[in-house]
Amino acid sequence: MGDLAVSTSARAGAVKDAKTSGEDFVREFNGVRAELVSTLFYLLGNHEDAQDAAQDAFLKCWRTRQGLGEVRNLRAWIFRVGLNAAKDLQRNAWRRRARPLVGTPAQAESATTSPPEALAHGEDLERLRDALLDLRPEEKAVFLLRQNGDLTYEEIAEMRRCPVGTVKTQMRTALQKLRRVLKDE
Amino acid sequence: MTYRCEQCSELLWDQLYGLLDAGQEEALRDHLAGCPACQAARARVEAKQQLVARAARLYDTVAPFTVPADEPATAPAPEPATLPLPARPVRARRRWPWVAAAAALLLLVGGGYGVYQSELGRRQADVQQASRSVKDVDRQMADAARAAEQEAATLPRSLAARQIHLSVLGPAAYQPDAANQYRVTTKDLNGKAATVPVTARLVAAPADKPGAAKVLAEQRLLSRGEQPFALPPGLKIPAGAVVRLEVEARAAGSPARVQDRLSVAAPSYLTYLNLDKAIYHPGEIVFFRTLTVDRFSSRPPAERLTTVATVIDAAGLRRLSHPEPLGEGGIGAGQFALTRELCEGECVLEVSEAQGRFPTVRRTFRLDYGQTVPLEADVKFDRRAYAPGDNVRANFQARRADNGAAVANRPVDVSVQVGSQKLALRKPAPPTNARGETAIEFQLPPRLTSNRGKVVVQVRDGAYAHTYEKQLPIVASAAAPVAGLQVEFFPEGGDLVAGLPARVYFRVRQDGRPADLTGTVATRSGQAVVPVRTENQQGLGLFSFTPKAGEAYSLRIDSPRGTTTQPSLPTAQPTGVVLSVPDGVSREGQPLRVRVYQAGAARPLIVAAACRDRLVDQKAVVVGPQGTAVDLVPPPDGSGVLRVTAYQPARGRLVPLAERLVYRVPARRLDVALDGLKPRYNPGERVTLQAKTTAENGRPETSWLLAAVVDERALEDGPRPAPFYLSGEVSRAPDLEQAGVWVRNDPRAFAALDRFLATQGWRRFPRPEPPTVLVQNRGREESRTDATAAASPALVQLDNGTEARAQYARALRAAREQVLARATERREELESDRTRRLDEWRQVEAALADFRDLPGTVLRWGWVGLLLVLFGIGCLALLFALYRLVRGAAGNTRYFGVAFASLLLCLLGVYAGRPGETRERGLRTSDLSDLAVGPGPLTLPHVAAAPRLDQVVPEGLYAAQSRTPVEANGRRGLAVNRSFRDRQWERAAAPNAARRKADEKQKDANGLKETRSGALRSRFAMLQRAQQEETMRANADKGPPVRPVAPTARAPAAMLGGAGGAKGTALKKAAVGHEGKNESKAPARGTGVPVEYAHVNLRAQGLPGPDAQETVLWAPLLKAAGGVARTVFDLSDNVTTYRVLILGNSPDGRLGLAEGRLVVQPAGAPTSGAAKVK
Repeated sequence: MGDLAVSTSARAGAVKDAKTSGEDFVREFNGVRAELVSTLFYLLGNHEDAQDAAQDAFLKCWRTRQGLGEVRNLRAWIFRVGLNAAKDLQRNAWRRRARPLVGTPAQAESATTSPPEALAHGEDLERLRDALLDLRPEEKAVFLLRQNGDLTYEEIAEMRRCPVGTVKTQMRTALQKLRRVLKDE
Repeated sequence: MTYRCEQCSELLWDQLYGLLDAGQEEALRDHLAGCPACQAARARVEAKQQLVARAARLYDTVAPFTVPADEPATAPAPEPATLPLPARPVRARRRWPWVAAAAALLLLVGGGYGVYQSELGRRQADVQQASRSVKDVDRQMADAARAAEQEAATLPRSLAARQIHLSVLGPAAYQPDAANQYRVTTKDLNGKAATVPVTARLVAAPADKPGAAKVLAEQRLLSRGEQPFALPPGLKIPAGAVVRLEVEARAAGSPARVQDRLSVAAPSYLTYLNLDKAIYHPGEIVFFRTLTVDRFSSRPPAERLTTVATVIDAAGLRRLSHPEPLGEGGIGAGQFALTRELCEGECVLEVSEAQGRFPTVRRTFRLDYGQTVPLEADVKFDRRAYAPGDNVRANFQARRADNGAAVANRPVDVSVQVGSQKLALRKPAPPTNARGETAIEFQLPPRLTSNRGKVVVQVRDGAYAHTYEKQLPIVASAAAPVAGLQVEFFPEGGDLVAGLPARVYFRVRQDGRPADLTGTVATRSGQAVVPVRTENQQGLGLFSFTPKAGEAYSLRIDSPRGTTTQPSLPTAQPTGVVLSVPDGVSREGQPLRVRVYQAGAARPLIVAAACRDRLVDQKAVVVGPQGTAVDLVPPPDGSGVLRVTAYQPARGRLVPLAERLVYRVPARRLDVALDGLKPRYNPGERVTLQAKTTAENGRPETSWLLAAVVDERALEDGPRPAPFYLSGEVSRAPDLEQAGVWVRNDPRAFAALDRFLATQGWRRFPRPEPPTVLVQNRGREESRTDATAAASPALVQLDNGTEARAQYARALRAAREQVLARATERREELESDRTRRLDEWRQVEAALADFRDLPGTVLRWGWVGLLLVLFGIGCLALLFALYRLVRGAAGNTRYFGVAFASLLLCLLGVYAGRPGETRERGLRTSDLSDLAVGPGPLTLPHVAAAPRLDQVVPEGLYAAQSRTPVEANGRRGLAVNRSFRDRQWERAAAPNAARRKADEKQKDANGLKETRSGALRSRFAMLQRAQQEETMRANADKGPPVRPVAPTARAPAAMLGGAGGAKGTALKKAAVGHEGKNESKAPARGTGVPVEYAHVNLRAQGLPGPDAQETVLWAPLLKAAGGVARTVFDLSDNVTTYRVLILGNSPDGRLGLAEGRLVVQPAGAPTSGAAKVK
């Protein structure tokens, strides 16, 4: 946790440095775009919605870039905007109905692993992804914000307007569900 | 804090994700530093955490985001003080689904409710439309039934207005000698006068050939309710023919017709008998003359009559009797020679008809065998006047008139009479002494009933008795009053009736002679009511007043003074009829105005006028207390004395209730005038007597005359011939003489005649033979004996009331059946239509009822669903809580609470929604019954029964026709034409049970059910009762017929006789005949030779002896052709006065009379008299 906190503070300082120009903001946003899109994918259930929500978050952040100086944690702010965009998109009934769930995009395996390991590794990933999709929405959001967004539990609690204990409980529940998939119990 | 290895493995994941607090972190780190196994485990956990991170980071590569081309990369934006988060209307966006859901729910509920209400309204409108449609049909049915009822209700009056009730009232016998006056009454059955043409025929048919009828007379007239008509007199009725009166009225409906057989009244004759003198001596000739005329028309009889004259002497022996036919003009004449075979004294000449076709007439005369030289006698009283109780002494003396010698030694018979009281003498009067005198002595009683007395002395001189009378001078005084003032009251019409105006005639007599008085009619208490006074010194008077019930009235006499008696008026009757004719004497051509009053309830009467036993007019009226005016119009011949009588028809008889005599001055008369009479004649002088006869308009009138010139001393001091028009009704000629009635054109004479006639009448008149037979014919010819019609005058009343009502009933029944048929057809159409519409209404009403239950169904199912959901939630929460409890998880209380609350709500919901009073589906009973019953059945079938006449015919019509009382139902009623009230009474008196039973029976027969409404039931009951009453009435009409009342057996009315001509002795016709066209010719008819005598003076013929002939002219059949007759005769040698009498009658029934005097005095003597013509 200490590493994460350090990295976070370091990124916050970088954002503070880049706020003076739009290029810095774009650079910072693109640096977290893979985690953001992945988080949005798990929240929205399909790739297109995740891309759209990320795009909306990007534009919203871009249009309010003049106030970035006031943002202490730009990464958390970007994820917060992304989650709001995802919720807005979920409220759109037409989009919900019109966009069926599609398969997850393929990831490049590491070249160092043997094929049997790669197959076992892929199966584990597949089970974990399914488990992530099966998590309750609040558990899913808390885990992804922590895992991909690298947000602290306090930021997550502020974002979800709930106590920190509740967030941690939800985090533990999510971890237990994932550990069952990994047979780590 | 320290961890063991197994605890440490559980905390490795929390450490990697920063979930541990500071104390746990430090303790774990301490343990890891000293435990290699846990370090290895941490490495494995980190590898799995990398795998999880890789799974969470799904994308390795994502296309970088670039700034949009239209967005400036470095837009100079104002530096915000803080960086706001993008606007996130979290609450609004979160509330939207609920609002939308609520709105959707509201929209759904509201829309559904609106749709439901719209559909419900549409279905209700459909039901109302269907209901209105059914009710429209009901209304049409009710309207049709009402219209049919109204049409049926108007039928009786309209049909009754088309039926003619024809009634004819008139003589039951055709009167050949008089105009037969009938009255036809035409009314409709509503009682209103109907204007219709009427044809009346008198038809004669042979008895053996009824079809060969011959119309004798026909009258066409237009009746406007009532119209008189007359059948002409003098029709030639074939012998043995049946005469029938047919009257037909042509109405809009069927013609009304009545007919009946009429008998032919036998002619009625009146005969006058005249003698030339009143006193005869043996050897003299009795000349007599009879004049026989039709009693009504005064025309000579058309048939041959044979008279029989008989002389009856004083011994009662019939000495002479000769039948002889009447001569020309109904005149018969004859003579008798008085021989000494006849006994001396009062003899009678009696003339009758051989077949009794006129009543026998008699005339008395005296046969005197005594000295032809009269005696001079006198009675001398010792005082000039006597008072009651005085002693009367008188001296009678008799001498012979020729030589003045005393009549000595002759027996004397003396009688004294005061009023009607005979007084006895103190001693019998002795025979006359040598001076011819005898003494008479008697005493007047102290109280006399009259102040008129006389002394009668009879002296026998041989075989002859001379009789002398002397008035007894009696003077009344206050100390000795004379009673005997006889006052008789004659209420006009007969009776005094309480409460009805009365005109009372009164007659005052004293000793049988008229007397005058003045006085006041007073009550019992002495209160003056009305003053009275006799008029014209005839002892007759009139006063008017209205008597009160229970009051007694008397006459208080003021003059003559000293009269103490107070004659009482007749007692006022509580009930009765008053008949009044204000104009007791009227002229021919004027209507005879009669007013009739009836005390108490009005009742039908018949007012008839008869003239010399011939009905001249009659009228049926209904009379009440207010009085009814009746105008009778007698035909032209109906003049003279008329008897006006009010009859009550009862049981076929006419009961006279009131009557009086009136006089109608005839328009036709024969004026007879004597011409050529000188003031004085010499004894033995030849006289030419000329008489002129003219009609009332001055036109010379051919007539037959009796001319008689007779010495007045040979005439009795008796009555002169009574006026012809009075003698038919008044039998006592002296009454006429005392009344001083000679009908002149003088109001005083009229008033006197009115007073005289009013004192006569059926209750006091000597010939009270009113018509007592009423033949009622109800439209068909009824058989009756000739004796019925022969009881003339009798009335016949032809009435088609029964037939008219029967026709009316038939027409009404047919019309109602037509109305019923139309109404039934219309009703069937409407009922078919109504059935169809009612089915439609049932369908839409059922659909509406189902639709109304739809919300309830939805709510019920919704409620059930809600309960199921609650039940499910409760069960799931309970299971979940139990599961967590088994798993040992904390915080299960809320799940148990949710389960408990859900199950509790479910239980409460089940309790609240338990089955209650379920509403019946389908049609509402009230609506259905309201429409299913409909307007009710058609009521006309019950009206189609025989109609009840009294529903439309006014009661008065029945009441006026009700004539025959019978005993019915224990009370007095009317068997025929009973009034509606009578029937109502009888129906009400019928036993209720029997009536109910009959009603129910009738109701069942008519298919009635008790499900009708009350109004309909009452209406049906009323109609059924009407039908039942009609049946009862029909049965009553068919019931025991009214037995015709047998006419009163009385002799035929033709009882007047004719005169008889007597063949006289062989006395030749006088040498001196008549001049002109009346030279003594043999009568045209008959074998009898009229005996005429015209005296020829003996001295003028050179014959010896004195000529003392008393009858110098007797011409019984002196015909005045062209109105002039002249005859010549000689006077005898007597110095006397002759009375000239001319009686005339014309062929057309005119009668006339003239009187005169011939004064015979020797030349040089002063004139003592002159011819006086009456």
